Amino acid sequence: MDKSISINKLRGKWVIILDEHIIESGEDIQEIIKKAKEKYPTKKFVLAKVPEEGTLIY
Amino acid sequence: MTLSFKYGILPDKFTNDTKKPVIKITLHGRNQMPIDVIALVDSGADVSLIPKGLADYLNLRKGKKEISKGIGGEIGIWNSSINITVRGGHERHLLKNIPIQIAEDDNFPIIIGRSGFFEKFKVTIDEKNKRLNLKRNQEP
Repeated sequence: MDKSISINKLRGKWVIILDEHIIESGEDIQEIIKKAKEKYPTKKFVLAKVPEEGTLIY
Repeated sequence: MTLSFKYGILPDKFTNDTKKPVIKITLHGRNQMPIDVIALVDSGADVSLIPKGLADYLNLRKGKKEISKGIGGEIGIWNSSINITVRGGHERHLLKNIPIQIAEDDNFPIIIGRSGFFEKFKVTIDEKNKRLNLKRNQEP
């Protein structure tokens, strides 16, 4: 997965960001963390949720 | 000193979405490595919120399940607490036992609400410059 990925495909999903690259995405947080750790066991990455399109109200 | 965070959940190159006031924080779990996350800072939220999948990853203890009400409706939550580190520049602040609610599913973003957090910092949302600024309050 790299920076050319369409953001629209990630709407509502969780992503793992490493050095400004999205290295994993999905709906299952534990699964994408596990995959990211397997790929980059010594790196420190960031978890974030990509918002749905539109205004954010909770 | 003031910690200043640029609005935006993802790096700029990914999206032109409306930028939101977020901070990068470290969440500390039990028996698990800490994890860095992007959290939305929401002055309208009484308590912070994290999704169940993340709480399970961090192995957080869950209290009794309850119903929490918000503008978006009702959700099932468990009450818990967590240690959070906020970093910026040369500053590092470890906040212990911050009350949180664990949302019953993973559809909610990570939200930093007022309880346990806004007492610790003077929080300024600088909408014009799209920055969120935190200044640590003096401990009593």
